[in-house]
Amino acid sequence: MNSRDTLLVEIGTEELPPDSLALLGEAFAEQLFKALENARFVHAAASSRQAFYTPRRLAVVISGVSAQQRDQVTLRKGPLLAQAFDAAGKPTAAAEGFARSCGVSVRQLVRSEENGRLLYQLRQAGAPLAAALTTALADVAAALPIPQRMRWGAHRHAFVRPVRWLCVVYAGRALDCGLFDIVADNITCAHRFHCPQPLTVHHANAYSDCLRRGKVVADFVERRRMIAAALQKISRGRVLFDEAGLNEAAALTEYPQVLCGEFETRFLALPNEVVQCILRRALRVFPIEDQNGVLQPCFAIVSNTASKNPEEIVCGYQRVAQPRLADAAFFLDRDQEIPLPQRCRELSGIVFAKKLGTLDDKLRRIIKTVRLLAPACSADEHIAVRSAQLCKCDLTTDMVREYPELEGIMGRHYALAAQEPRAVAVAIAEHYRPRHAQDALPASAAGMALALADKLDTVTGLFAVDQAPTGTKDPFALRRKALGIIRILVEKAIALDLRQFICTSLHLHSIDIDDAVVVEQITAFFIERIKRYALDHSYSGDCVVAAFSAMKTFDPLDLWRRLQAVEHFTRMPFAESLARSNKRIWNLLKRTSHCAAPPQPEQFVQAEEKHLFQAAQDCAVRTRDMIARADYLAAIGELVKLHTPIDDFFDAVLVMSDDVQQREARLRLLLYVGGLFRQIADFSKIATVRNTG
Amino acid sequence: MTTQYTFQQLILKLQNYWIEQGCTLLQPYDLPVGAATFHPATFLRAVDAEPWRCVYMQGCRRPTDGRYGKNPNRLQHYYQLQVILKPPPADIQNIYLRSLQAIGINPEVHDIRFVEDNWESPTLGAWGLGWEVQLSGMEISQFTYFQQAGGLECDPVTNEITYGLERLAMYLQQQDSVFNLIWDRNDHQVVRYHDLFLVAEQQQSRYNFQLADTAVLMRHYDEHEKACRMLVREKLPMVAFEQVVFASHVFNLLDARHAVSATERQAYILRTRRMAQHAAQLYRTLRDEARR
Repeated sequence: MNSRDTLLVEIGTEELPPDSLALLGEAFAEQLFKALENARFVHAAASSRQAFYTPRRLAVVISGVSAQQRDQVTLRKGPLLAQAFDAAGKPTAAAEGFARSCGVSVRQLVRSEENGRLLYQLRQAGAPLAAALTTALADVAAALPIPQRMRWGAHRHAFVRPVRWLCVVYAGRALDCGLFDIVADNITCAHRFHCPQPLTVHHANAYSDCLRRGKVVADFVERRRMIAAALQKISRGRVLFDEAGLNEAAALTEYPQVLCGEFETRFLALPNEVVQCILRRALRVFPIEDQNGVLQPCFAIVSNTASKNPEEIVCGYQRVAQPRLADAAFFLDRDQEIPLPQRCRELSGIVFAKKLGTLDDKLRRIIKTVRLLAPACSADEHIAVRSAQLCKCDLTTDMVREYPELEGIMGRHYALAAQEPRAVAVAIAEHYRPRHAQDALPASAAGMALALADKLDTVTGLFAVDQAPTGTKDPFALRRKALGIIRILVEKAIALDLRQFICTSLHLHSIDIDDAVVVEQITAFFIERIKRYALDHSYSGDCVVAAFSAMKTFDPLDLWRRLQAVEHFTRMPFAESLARSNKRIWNLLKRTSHCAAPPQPEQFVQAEEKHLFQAAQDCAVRTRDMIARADYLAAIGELVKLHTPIDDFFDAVLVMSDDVQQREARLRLLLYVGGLFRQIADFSKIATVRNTG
Repeated sequence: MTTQYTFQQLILKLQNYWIEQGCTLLQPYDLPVGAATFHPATFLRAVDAEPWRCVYMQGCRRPTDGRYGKNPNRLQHYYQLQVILKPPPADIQNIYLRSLQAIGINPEVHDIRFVEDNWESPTLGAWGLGWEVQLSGMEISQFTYFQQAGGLECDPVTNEITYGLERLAMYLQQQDSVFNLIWDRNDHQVVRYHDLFLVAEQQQSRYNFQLADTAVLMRHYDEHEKACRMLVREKLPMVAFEQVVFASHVFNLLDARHAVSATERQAYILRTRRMAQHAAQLYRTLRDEARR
């Protein structure tokens, strides 16, 4: 009889990467469940699963698992009985043929009276769970979302981290299955230090409790709750933790214990960002502030050990914090011995990139560029130039050398300390943004101008010395920089002829190359990036093509507005027919020879021709201003009104008339109408509309 | 209270522990290196197909970390204890943890954790997956499974365990300054770290940060690169590898003089890596030929 019971599958590993632990844990549980479902060992309706994951294990407990696969019966219908056998009762050719195709003899087939046919029945006995599980485990392990697999021995097995044990329990017993040459057992390992001896799991349902006795909290959500609750109980103040910090702490522990450490009050004189950077990044502890948001001289530790002497742990962390904070204080003092503006001198001693000169050279180029960019960004030129002069000076400071992630931030501090205007200090801090795809953009006008100038200089320079990114390699993160430029222009609504600025920036490098060729290369690179950006924002591929086809100058903001207009168009009534009409218009014009000249109204014969021309002219007048100020959305609203005259025209008028003059007049009219649409985008490229009307 | 081993005793205890695990005791590489990984016993052995176990001390030079002997935690020269197991046994993590117990660290008292730290040496074209081992927040070891070295896949995989000895010693001796560490104590003398290294730290820092001629260094780098190419052509991978080590050290000196920006550093790293890859590939090719 096919009994059901609960199954535990646990893969024991060496410490799993905290960033992907939750993803892996959930994926493992889900995929194993699906694999068993596909193999007919579980019914989704009658089974449930729970995922457990800690730094050292991925596990799932699944209820309602059959011990044996249900037998599977395959049925194939053959010829009708009347046609399968002749009058003498011997098999006909049809019957023989069918038997052959099933790989059996006619005698092995079944004569089904109720069906009236010859049947082929194959009964496959269900496989037992153990064998199927080995296959399922191998498949799931291979399919897990692991960006980088590692090997750990003399064998070829690869996984996210070395696998050290396999615990599989079903109906109270170990199941004979395996993964990566490890044979499963009903034994698990609990907390490394609090419970070094292995534990026997007597039943899958007892897994979580068994581990708990071994000082392992197997459930991720429970661990996270424990940590959050313990952090909130700290009386020294409010512990600063976010989702990411909490998840990391839960992913790094099996038995979280929260402790509190201290550092000397004098370090509170350090900038907040410095202290937090040291605490979070270097020590992986949580800063604490009081109810007024003032940082406190203490921090919260999430340890993995319920120590016999917790003071030792606290002392340990404190002894790591102390010298780092002392170093930072030392750096801060020493750095300010040379005020920020005086550090410009040192920049001529630092090579920016081979053949691209020093940081001092870069600064000279950026200053020129930022002067040109300031008006477009509505930035005060003096502020922008001053920010440019100082923006790399903090790279010569000890603090930034020690903590490179503080570049810009220290620039701001040291600028303020040197009595520079606040706007300058802010721009210095902001010009590195966005550092990655989700990062905030510069908020100040000078910050935007400087960010654009700096990134542009790096991109054009590296292209000029043949260091452009390839398909797989982008060691200088030029894609990220180009995307940053695009995001600033689009999201901050800055209109700019980017090709022109690429040209200017490239020219400033004074490198002996064919500027024209490289400008095209770089422009194409940026166009790729903005296309990607559009696709990532769920614009469909054909909308992107349509909008980009009408591009005259490479102005990302303008391009974006066209894209928005095109996308809006696809959701309007008659979009489909208008797209079709546009295709038709351009197909006709492509196939025929015609004059690229204005329409000849005196040649119009039919009412529909005159009507279309009139409507088009009116539309042109109404949309002229809209297009001049790049309000493509409004212009689209006007253009779609042409759908009726266009449809009427195509219904009633034969464009390819035998009369040459008439034909020419009609083609010119279509050119005029098509041209109106083309001012915004090439609507003939639209393939999918969201709204048919 | 943890046992207060001298630095010397720490070295001997750890070396002996790993000798018991079947590691052969080697001596440090005689060229200036930034890490114990640069020793041919690690780097070149990682690239061939034979099993291998060794342990050795290695003095490491990191010019940028010099602090004129004024910082209690930073040195431009310090020691690593390197353990190589190729391939590693299944319970290697436990074996490592017992080594910590052998030097008096009680895991039921301290917070010992394996924190993801995927090690990469871009200059050697080597990378591996592993962890830094933290002792109550302080990194005391790097624990890595090499996947690639010199751009070549490692098969069998080499497990590298690197102990930061000064850090460990400071923790065990409860010293806040590395210079107060007791290196050795016997009937005749007490030798502290500052007796051995303080003056060198001061002098080297001055050279590294103020006096090293960057134009000369850049020329040296180019010359080592050229020599490496020649030696690869002449089919001498061991000597070619030495040029890689020299070049890498020269680059570290340039870095300490702040003569290179982030962008230029990337370019130097790529050049050194190319040299390392050629040497490693040649080494493996010749080893394979010799075996046949």
